[in-house]
Amino acid sequence: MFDILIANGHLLLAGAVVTLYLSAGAAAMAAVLGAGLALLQLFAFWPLRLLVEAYLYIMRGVPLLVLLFAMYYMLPYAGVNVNPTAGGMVVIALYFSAFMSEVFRGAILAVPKGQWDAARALGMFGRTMMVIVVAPQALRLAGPPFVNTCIMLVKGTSLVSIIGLLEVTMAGRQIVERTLAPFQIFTGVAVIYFLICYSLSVYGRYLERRTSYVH
Amino acid sequence: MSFDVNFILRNLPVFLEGLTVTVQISALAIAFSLIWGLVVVIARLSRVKALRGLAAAYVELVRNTPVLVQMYFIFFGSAVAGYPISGFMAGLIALSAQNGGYVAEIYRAGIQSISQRQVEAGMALGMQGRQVFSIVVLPQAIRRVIPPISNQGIVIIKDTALVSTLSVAEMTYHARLLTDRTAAAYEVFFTLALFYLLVTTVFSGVMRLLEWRLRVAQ
Amino acid sequence: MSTKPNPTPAIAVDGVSKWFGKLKVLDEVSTAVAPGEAVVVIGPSGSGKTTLLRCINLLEEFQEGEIRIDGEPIGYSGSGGQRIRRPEREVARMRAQLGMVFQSFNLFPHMNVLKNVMVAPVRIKGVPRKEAEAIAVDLLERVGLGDKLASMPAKLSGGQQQRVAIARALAMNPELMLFDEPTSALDPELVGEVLGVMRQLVEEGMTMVIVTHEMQFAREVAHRVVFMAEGKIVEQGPPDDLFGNPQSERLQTFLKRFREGYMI
Ligand SMILES: Nc1ncnc2c1ncn2[C@@H]1O[C@H](COP(=O)(O)OP(=O)(O)O)[C@@H](O)[C@H]1O
Ligand SMILES: [Mg+2]
Repeated sequence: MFDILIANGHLLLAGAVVTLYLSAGAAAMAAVLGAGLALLQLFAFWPLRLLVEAYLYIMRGVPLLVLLFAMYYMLPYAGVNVNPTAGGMVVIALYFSAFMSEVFRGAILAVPKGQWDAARALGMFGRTMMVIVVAPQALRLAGPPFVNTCIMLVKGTSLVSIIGLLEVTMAGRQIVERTLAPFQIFTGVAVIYFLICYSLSVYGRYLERRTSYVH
Repeated sequence: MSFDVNFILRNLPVFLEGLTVTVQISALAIAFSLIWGLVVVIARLSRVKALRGLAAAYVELVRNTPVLVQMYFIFFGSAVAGYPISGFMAGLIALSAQNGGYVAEIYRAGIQSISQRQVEAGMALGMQGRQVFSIVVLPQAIRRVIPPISNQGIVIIKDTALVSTLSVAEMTYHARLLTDRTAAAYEVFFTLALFYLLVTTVFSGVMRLLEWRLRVAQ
Repeated sequence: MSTKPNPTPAIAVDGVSKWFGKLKVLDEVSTAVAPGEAVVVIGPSGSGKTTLLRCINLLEEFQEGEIRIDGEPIGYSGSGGQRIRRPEREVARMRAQLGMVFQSFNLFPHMNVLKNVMVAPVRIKGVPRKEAEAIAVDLLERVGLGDKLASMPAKLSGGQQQRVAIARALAMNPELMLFDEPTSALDPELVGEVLGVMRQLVEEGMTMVIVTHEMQFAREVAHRVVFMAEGKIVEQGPPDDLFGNPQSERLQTFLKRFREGYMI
């Protein structure tokens, strides 16, 4: 019954490779951007903070698919010739940077107030305090929600199939058009996503257990 | 690059038509997710081990696979199986299945956040398990789950854009048609984004109001 | 040791032992409380006082022995080796006859004061709402909170919350009341108002078991004091005997430390 899947397995795996590097690249960018946004949101001068808030508001209120379409349709008109894979990666990163910023902001705020006070009492302030006292604790706390956001991001990469990128979902659709075997093929696609995301979630749970020991 | 406001005004009816469908499928998907989530969490917390395991596996399955793939599975699968269902239905089922899993976890966290002390206070007064749940735990848990439910609702609203790929004529679908026809990409996507912001903002506003109402009662 | 003239004590604890895993926290505890008697339980932290109260109220299972309320064994049925946990409905019915007041108040935060007191009679005993309200108002007036009926618990001081908790337990018209360090979570200036309510209950003839570190209160109010250490009842008797002439070295040390102001 699954011989169709086996016969086309190599195509799905090739797609999975694209999904993986798309995810990894976008996640890395989103993390860096999100951390920056979180810091700005918490500590920047108010006009800048307002700007960041506006950015987050848009990213949280507009579907990823709409952002992808906007990139896909608008950039050519603007005369910008982007590689669609790079474009998709950047849009996904921008979109998830808003969620990453929430992860980091929450983690920074979750560092107990006593820790900030203790650091200040030792004469630390500004960057020293962040680097020596706050950041190490915040990063620990950020671990599990960071992994959860990564899972959403991996699933989110499936949307680039709609703008024509050949990753695993698109590979699946193409095979289905040829073979008319949606159950087998999409099961295969789902299994690939599941393996990636479930490994991440197992890792997230491990981090969670580790952080809860500390406290 | 010019930005044609008149173009937007001219095509407003098209957007509004899409908006009705987006609101419809969003409302239905949110309602079904809330109900389905309840069923899943009841199984997840049940005394029957097999039921618990089944619910846990279900939650893992839907949380670790993209809703888009679930939509394709249902839509194309049902067609091949000889029982074709509409894109609207396929989208609705996939959205409810996926988000029901998330909602179940939200419910569970809310229920488990009520301290054992509260449970014992109820038991000490002579309440049985069911009464402790309905009198003590549930009313407190409902208050706590509203913010995460609100977030999940926004996820659902945004994910309704995906049904455009199944040719459901909601906002994003109309926007694409319009762009293909008129090449006014800037105007179209600006307006489309604005409409989504409108829907998500109104929704989260209503949820905040609800939360506030329940807070005041506390 | 006081002998009890009443043949069926309100509470009879008979050779009760309890383990948490390998840790034996109650070690063949036996005692009895007569109707109308107020018993104060004292002892160092970790000696099993809370666990004993929780066993009486079946919030905790115990492995050996028997506890009877008015002669009826609670929690378990069957005798001679056979111990079968009773169905939840029966356990709940028995709990409804016992009032329990916790150290941390545990009021329901989503209900106002009146509702907190009314909810159990209405929902569990099926008392008509009007009647339950009248009883609740009366009880709240008795604990000095007649003007707080509509307040939410979070808006009250600890002392006020604990008095509501007492009224809530009394609303079920219990045969006896169990108190687990009801004043330990309170600021010192609020302790008196709660002890006052408890003293009044003793005077009205309520059967009570009170775990507390308020030695002055124990001395003045208790009919009998029980001293526990390491899961055992080491000494028990009238307060004047226990405080004035402690027999065991453990109790002597305990009282000495207490007088010296150690935290217990
Ligand atoms: N749920 C529990 N699990 C394991 N050990 C417990 C638990 N509750 C209490 N204990 C242990 O049982 C002993 C008696 O505790 P407790 O009855 O609370 O003492 P007291 O109220 O006299 O301070 C202590 O050693 C305590 O650590
Ligand atoms: Mg205790």
